[in-house]
Amino acid sequence: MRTKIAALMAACSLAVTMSACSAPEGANTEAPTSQELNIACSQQEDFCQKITAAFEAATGIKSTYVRLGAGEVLARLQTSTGEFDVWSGGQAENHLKANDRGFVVPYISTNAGKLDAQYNDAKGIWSGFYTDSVGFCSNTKELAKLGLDAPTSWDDLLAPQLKGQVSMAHPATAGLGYMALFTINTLKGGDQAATIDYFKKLNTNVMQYSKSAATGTEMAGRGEVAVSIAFDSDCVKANKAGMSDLKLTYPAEGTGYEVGAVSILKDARNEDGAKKYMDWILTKQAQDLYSSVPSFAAPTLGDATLGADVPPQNTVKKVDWDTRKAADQREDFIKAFGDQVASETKAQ
Amino acid sequence: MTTSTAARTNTTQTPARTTVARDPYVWGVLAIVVVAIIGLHGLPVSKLIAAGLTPEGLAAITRAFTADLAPLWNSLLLGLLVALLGTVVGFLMAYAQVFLSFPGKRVLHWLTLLPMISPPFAVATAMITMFGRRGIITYHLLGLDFTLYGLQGLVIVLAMTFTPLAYLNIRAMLENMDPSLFEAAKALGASEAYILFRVTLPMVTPALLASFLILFVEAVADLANPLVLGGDFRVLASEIYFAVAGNGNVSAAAGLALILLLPALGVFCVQKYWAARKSVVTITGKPTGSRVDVTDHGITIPVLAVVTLWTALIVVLYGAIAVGGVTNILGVDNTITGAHYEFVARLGSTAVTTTLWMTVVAAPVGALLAVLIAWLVVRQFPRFGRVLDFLGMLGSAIPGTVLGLGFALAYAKPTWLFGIQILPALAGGVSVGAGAIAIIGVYVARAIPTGQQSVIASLSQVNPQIEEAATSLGASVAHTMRAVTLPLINPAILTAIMYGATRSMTTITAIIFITTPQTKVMTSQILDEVDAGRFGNAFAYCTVLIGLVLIVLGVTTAALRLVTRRKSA
Repeated sequence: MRTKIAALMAACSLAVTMSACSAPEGANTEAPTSQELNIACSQQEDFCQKITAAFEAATGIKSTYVRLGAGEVLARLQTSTGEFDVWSGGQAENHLKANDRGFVVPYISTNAGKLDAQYNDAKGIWSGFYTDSVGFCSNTKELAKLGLDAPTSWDDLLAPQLKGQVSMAHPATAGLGYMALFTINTLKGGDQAATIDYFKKLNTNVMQYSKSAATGTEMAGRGEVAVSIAFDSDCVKANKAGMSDLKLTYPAEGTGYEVGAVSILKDARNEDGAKKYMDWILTKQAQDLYSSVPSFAAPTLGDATLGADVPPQNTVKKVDWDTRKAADQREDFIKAFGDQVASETKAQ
Repeated sequence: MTTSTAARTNTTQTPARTTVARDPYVWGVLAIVVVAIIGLHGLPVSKLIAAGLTPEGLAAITRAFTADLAPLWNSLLLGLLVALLGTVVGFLMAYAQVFLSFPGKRVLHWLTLLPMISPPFAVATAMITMFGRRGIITYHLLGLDFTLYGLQGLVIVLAMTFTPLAYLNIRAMLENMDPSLFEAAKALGASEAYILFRVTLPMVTPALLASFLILFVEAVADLANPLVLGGDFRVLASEIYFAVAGNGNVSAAAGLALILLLPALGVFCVQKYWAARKSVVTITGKPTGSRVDVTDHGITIPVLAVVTLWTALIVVLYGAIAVGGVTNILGVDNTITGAHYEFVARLGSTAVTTTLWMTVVAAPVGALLAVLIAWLVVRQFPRFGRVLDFLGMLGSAIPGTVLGLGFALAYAKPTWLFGIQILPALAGGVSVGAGAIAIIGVYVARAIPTGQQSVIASLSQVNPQIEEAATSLGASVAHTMRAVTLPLINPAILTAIMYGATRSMTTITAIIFITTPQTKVMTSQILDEVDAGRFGNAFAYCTVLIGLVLIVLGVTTAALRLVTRRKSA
């Protein structure tokens, strides 16, 4: 009898569990609204915190943020929308990608007109509010031990002495990782096979593909790797924070640059607040704050204050960055990277 | 009550009699427990299975077994090595604690447990700082060029993290051994070494095996350390993370999670039913006689050497955490600074309060469910109870990665039952309670197993006649439970709360997929800092968290003392 009861209960629970699985058609899923603003922030934690606080102080709109890599934001949007109202930071191509998937609500900010064309999307999908470039962040002490100079070319990274001495961000989670991929792709004239081939060679030298962009810089700063593929802004920032052995160089053949973008997300519970955020971040007052945060990324407004140690962007040799193409090829490249490069590592 | 106890002592009784007199209260409790178990385990796991068996999920599974075998193989290798190292060290620490005499035993006990009450990356970050390629000890002091990233670092870090579990398990069993066995062996002329290998070790085998299996599951499921310290060593858990966080491919992640789930469940069954049956230790309550310390230098010297080495490692690592919290960049720029604590105060204060309040809710709820399950298992349904017992214990058998992903899948959208919405969305930022409910759910699921174990053990030792007396004097089942049973097992309940609180405050793997903007959890904040390489902030966070856990433990211990004293008075 008891075993029967047990069996019956087990059957019942299974049935309940299974039948509870799906919502009926036409279920009421009306979006709730909120007075608070939720920001998905794809910058460094301290920058997110100060900018959010400054926005709150300037507008009185209570705001919270979560720091997530650009890839992580895209993934989160995939599983649920409405969690965030506005996406602040991360490369423009990722915002474009989000728009392709229907997660962005275009909005042309009243302040977008002051931006250079390269820093703004005419259709209002995204607007750029900071910019920096991909560079090499090297630990001079470690390089000296290896008998190398700071790399000045992408091919320098393939030097056999650098085996296990390079750090790079994972393209799936960090926008920087994908930027490195797409930069090489642009330099190789759009040849995907040649690009993957380069990263297969680089793979021998890479110690770890880190989850976030800033990780590699810190690893180089502590001397755990000699070179990190990093944002120039992060490299200077770490150097000023006490990692004085760090040296920033750029590849002579050209490098990718990031337009840090802001966009308004679908199902926002506070769309009004999101628009206000976008307006605000495109003002001189907001971008003047970068110099005191301190963020070493350059503002996109020409008249905003430039911090003393911010890497000057106009002297960097850049590749011809096609945001549209970068967005279109992202999935393909990340899959190819995961299947062919990252999985090259042998079982130990 | 009477009838069920009768059934307990006489299992050949006709079952009809037992069902007739059962109090409705019992069915009420059973209903609560069943609903809780479905909500905490059934729904998340079945959702996960459903997602894992979609074409995309199946493709990921196939790939993991064919084209890309490395993560699977690496996970197994890592699990085996961690389980081996952790169990050996755990045994030696326990052996020293029980059989050897040396100064500072209490201190050693607490030091051994330290990794258990600290957040998961505390050890990893300290390890990189002290023993990494440019570690203070390995490089600056010894001039070695030792790479920590990869298998070697993971094994040491995970073994450090989980050794306390093995230690507690094995120590309990060693302490429960009847000293007269050792006396007898000695009287018959056995040397201490002979006793160690032919008496102690064989008798403690079930605990060794159990520890081995627990450590294996924990190591295989761990997600945070491979992210920080993995190097090019890819494991299934981190692949799951990249599938979800990087590609938003939940089905592929679910497929990979299923690969983790099956061995974990297998290991759990082996441990619970096979290892437990092998047990040669009888629960007699109090061992008779007193233990004589082992003094043979052939044993004490090697054991104490390992113990000293391990303890030194713990002291160095936690010392690094304490110092690292107040140094700019430990090992690179050793200027004293308050900036890290200022960072924690500025950014982490909400995380601290959120973590605390969720723990304060989850730990008692977990303990309550543990008590209810134990009560049903021991007192009400001795036979069907084994199923319940099994279901409750699932919380420890399901790998954290799997449970967390299951929660995300099950509760990100409202729950429907036969066309009626019975629950709103509980996980994610847009849900009721901004995701806190799902996180608390995970905490509760993780808190139940140990609580349940300790309450069942405690309840089995209470003579049912005490409760029967109350019932026959006219007290209802509910009243008896409240006024008689619960006070008798108070210490076990507090232990359950204590363990639940510790586990909640330090968990990361199980909640990484369900943290939300509005509900910031300390452990995930720490992961952010570690991941971004800002170790100083992470050290400061870790110190604060360890302090909080100690306070919570202190308060509960004080309560425990108060309760036991009142009882004995």
